[in-house]
Amino acid sequence: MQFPDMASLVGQIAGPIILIGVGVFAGRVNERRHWRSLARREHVLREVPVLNIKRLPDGLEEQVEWSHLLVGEVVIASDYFKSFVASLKSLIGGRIRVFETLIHRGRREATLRVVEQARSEGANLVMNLRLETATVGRGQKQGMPMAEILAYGTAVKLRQAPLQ
Amino acid sequence: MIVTNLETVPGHRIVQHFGLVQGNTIRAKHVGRDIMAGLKNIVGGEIKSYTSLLTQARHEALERMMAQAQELGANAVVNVRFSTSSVMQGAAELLAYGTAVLIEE
Repeated sequence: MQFPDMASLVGQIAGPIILIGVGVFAGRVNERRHWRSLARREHVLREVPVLNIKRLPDGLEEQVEWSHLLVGEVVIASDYFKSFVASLKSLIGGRIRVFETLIHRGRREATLRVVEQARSEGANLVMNLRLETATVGRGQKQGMPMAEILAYGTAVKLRQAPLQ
Repeated sequence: MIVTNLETVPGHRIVQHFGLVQGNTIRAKHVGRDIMAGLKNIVGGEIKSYTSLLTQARHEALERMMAQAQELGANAVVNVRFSTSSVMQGAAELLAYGTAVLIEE
């Protein structure tokens, strides 16, 4: 009588444990790969400065060839392990470090997409960069945690490259 | 039409203001996207289908804002901002707004 109950109980416990295991490994691999990719691309894009000021420094205004808006967006999902840790952490309160790194990666990725676009169009700098969070996947029944970031700024092309 | 999120269009002089223009959109995702997103929530990483949904929504909001500016006879929109709302769960809701202006070419 008790045996089938035990089996279903084991099944119920094993499912999440397997998912957590997959989350630990795949999540970590994915995150590491993303960190590396961010570092590599940011290194290449150092030549295009990103500012969040609105006005060009004096004397550069006359140098402007063109300027227009660029937008970059990204939605990055949390892995099962992170979500599990966060739900435990939310019982006792405090800093949820696993989500800090998630949203940080999202912001860097969205910003990078703006700057990559700026560079490919030949812009010299990106001005007035703003970050906004969206809500595409949130509000699910299970509440899948994800970083949804929109970054936007104005790419500016100067006739003469600014002095570094 | 030039769109910037600065207070001016650098290198141009603003000669006329037309006031605020805005464009909004609400785009729902479909079930197929949800299934992919559900899988991604186990292993982590970018959900490309949600990203593209956001891209489409942003594109549409900007298009509408620019169409409104065009109607007013503007040739640029300055100080553009994006805002997100949550009218409905599981949809991308975006508002783009800015000031329509006429600039000297």
